[in-house]
Amino acid sequence: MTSWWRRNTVPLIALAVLAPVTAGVIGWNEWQEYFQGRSTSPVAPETEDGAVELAGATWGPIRGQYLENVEGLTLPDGAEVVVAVIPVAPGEDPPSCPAPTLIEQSSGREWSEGRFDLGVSSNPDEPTTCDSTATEPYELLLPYIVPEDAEGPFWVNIAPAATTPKIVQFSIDP
Amino acid sequence: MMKKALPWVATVVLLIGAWFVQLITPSDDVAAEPFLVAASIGSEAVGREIVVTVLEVRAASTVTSSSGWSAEGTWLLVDLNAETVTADRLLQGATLTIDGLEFRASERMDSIFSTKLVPGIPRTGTIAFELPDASLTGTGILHLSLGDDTRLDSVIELTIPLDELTTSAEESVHVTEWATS
Repeated sequence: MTSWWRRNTVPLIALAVLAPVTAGVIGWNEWQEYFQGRSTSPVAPETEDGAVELAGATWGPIRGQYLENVEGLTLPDGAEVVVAVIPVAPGEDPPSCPAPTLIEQSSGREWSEGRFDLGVSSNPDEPTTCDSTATEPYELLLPYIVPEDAEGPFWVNIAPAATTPKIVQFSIDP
Repeated sequence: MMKKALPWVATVVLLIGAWFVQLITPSDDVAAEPFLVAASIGSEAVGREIVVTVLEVRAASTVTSSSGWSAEGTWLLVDLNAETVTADRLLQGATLTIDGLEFRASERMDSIFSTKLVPGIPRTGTIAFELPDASLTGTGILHLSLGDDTRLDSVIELTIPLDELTTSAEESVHVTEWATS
């Protein structure tokens, strides 16, 4: 018996190395496809009023509420405005991102930022997208036009360009 | 005698059978055909991701738009309210089929065609079709969808009796805006 193990030492060592390597390589390949194929993987703060670190920046804590005074805004009948304010503290390499979206958690309905539709001209002091040149902390100001039947809680998704498919996800219940 | 005839009879029967099977076999694209949602004027037609209410169908020999643009020709205008169900999408599929000829919506003026629709809040506007002269006869089939590619997607379908339309001298393409309910 001992002689069999001894005679086959080299193949046994090869097997002991190759079998786990094979499993590892195939497994890694499959799981990597699984994670890449997923549209996003959200990074959320631990508490609702918490902040998140992603793309070298600190995001949050988020503030969200319905806009009560809508005078002077182009707002259709049966619609309301949800405003989300997200403080961004950029690090060494300030991130860029498109305007975050608002998602109704119960239905998955998704709205994009509606500043233009409200008839409010853009203002560099109230950005809706991340400024990749800003080194000082700033706040994203995002008005969303939602129908009256939309109900919180909502998610606010921020997708920094550099961290795809990782996104920052806040929950607000205005 | 019987033995000699049998293979011939069997062959003929099988050939005719095969011909019938071939006749009733659906074509390859049937599996990916769009889901048609019949619409009527004034009532809401709900598709998978698009919701449309056709308000009015107009015909005119000159159309104008709010920007001051105008053009003569044979025009069919469709006024509608439209929204999406779950996410922002452009209204990019609008065709009118008359007598086997398919016309795409005009992009010569600003209209609701190719504009953004949002979930739950309808926008109102007009889609314009520029048609060959004297083509407003018979039946027109209007198809509305979000994408150009309608495979396995819903398509809102409205049948328009073209002979019943009165052609006005001039009609305008409405400004695209939020619908007032």
